[in-house]
Amino acid sequence: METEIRLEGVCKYYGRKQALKDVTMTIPTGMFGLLGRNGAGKTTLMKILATLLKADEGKVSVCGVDVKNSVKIRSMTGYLPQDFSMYGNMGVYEAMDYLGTLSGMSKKERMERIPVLLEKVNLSNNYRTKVKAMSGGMKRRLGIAQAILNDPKVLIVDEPTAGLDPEERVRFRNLLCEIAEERIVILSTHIVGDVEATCENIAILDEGSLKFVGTVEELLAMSAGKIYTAEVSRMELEKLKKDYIVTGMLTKGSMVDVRFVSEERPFEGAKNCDPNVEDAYLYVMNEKGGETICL
Amino acid sequence: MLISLIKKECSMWMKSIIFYAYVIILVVFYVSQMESGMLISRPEPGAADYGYTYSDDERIIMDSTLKDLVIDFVSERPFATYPVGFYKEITLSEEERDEVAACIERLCKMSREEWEKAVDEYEEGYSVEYDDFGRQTVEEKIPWPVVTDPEITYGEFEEIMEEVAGIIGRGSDYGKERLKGHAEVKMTYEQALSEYEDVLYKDKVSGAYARIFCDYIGIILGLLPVFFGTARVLKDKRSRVKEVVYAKRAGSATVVCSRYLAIVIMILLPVLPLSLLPLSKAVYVARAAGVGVDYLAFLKYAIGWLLPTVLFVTAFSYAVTELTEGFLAVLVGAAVWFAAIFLTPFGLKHAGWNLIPRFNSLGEYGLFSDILDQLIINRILYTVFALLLLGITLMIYELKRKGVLKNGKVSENLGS
Repeated sequence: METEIRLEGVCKYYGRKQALKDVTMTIPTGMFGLLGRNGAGKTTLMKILATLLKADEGKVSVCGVDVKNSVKIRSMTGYLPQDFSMYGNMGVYEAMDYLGTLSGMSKKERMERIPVLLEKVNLSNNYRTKVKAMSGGMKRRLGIAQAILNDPKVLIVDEPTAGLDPEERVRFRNLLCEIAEERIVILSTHIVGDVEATCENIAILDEGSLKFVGTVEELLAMSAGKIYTAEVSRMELEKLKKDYIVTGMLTKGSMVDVRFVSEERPFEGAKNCDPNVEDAYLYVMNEKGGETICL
Repeated sequence: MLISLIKKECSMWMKSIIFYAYVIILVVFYVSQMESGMLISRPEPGAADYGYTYSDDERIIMDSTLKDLVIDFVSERPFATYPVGFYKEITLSEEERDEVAACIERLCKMSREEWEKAVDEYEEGYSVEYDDFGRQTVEEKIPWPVVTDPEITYGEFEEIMEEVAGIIGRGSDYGKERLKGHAEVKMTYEQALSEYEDVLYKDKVSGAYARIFCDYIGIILGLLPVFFGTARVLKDKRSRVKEVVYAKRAGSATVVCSRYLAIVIMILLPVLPLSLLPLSKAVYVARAAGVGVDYLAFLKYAIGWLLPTVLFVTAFSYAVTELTEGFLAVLVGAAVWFAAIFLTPFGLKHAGWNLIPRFNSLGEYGLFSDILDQLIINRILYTVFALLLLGITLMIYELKRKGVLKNGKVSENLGS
């Protein structure tokens, strides 16, 4: 049986606006990061995979099953929407039990699996905590627990770390990595650090078009030798911003340590350095224009 | 899965303030409208008043109907009609009035001038006085002068009245099926005794109590389920759980039907225990009279009479709210309820096509038997409407689930 997601020429329109433009890629088992700005088409793509939207053109199959077979797709996918919530006056266990029933699980299955999952997401001491009393991080953890309740082959997670504090974010990313063993986890985010820390394979979407598909190493290799650092004055910084893509800055008194992208050594004193994923992402987004890079 | 979901939905309602508000309103309404009095007793000979009934005497029906028609005509008020069960006033043109006047002439065999003059003379000698308790005393110096000619047969009378009803319009009070409603007469002791015996032996007492229970409770159930259907759909929107639920394996039919059936169950849940109160009265009356009681009468009436109302109102509110995701269903539901309650034909003892059939009488088995066929058709019709609305709800839900519809509009979701 196939263990990958295939998209071929997928297009989606909202009226005159084209949200997805001829997206073609294959998503293998493991953590897959979907990067892009707000409005890039990430959520649209995730919703198509979760059968909540229909593609206007193209083909999508999940583990060999056409996405049009929504009943089968829903039984093999778990979905955590961007703004996950549940009925406020439900307790944690009750919410899981309700969603487990909607997933077609028997009472016995629910009774066995819910405690295990709540333990896994560190909510085992919160069975009776009302959803309305939960913090953002707790809600996301509940969200991920409900998304894997039916032990799905594919987990679709839309912007899961937005709004979380750094500690919660790290914990959440680790949780996703644990879950990703032997299944496909698609993580949509505009936070490059999330992808860098968790994903082996990534895709970059920009205004509905696919800008890059490949591994993190491949993305880094693309920008190798093109990332520089330099110490400049505040006056020089303004000019540098105009001429180059600045990927990072650290102010030190009147001087600034700047990290930026350049195809060749820009000036005396600029030092070449190893790129990180954020550098590579910005390089692809800004330097590669409309061309799609599939490695 | 369906049964488990229904249980979970019911459990959610058990924690809802809407459910408890409904129970309180239901009980308060019952106590204020039904709880006092209401014991059926054997009529005593020689009593001053045994109430009113509708006569089966053809001559009385003809004369009473003609009298009502003439009074309506000379008062020059618009005629009342109930084209689809709701009240509508019809003002006739001069030509149409002439046609109605000609019908009256054929019925009483008097020229228009003659019967109009006779009515004027009657009205001069007619007076009504009210005492401090609102009771009226009518004084007539001469008897009502416009009566049907003795040579007119009932069949001819019906034909002429059909002509009149045709001139006035659909749903006229003078239609063939409504003629008996004009023949209200005082009940005799024998009639009152016969009616009492009908309640004891045909209704087994509890049937009569179940009817008036359904009459009152139907008023509440014609409106309050609107809030349940609306609240259930808006709960998903307010709690932002729509997408989580959409993405689950459960089919749209399972989700929609479980929610719908849970509402119907929760609406009927307090009604059945409440019916034990009038049932206890029925048991008391039956024991006093030494007859048996049909203990299942309330359940049968609740299913046959009240359930279609609940099914329809719930399905209507569910469908409209699923489509609009707003409070439109409450506004429309309240308007329909108002019309059903206040614009009903024949006052309080008629089914017609009304969403809320009325039978505001403890007893009158004979009259109920007369309207039973219409009531059955009415209830089947609303049940069919409810199922159609449920089907429409299901389609709307499925389209929303696939992202085709959003809040009743073609999706304009421009999410990232």
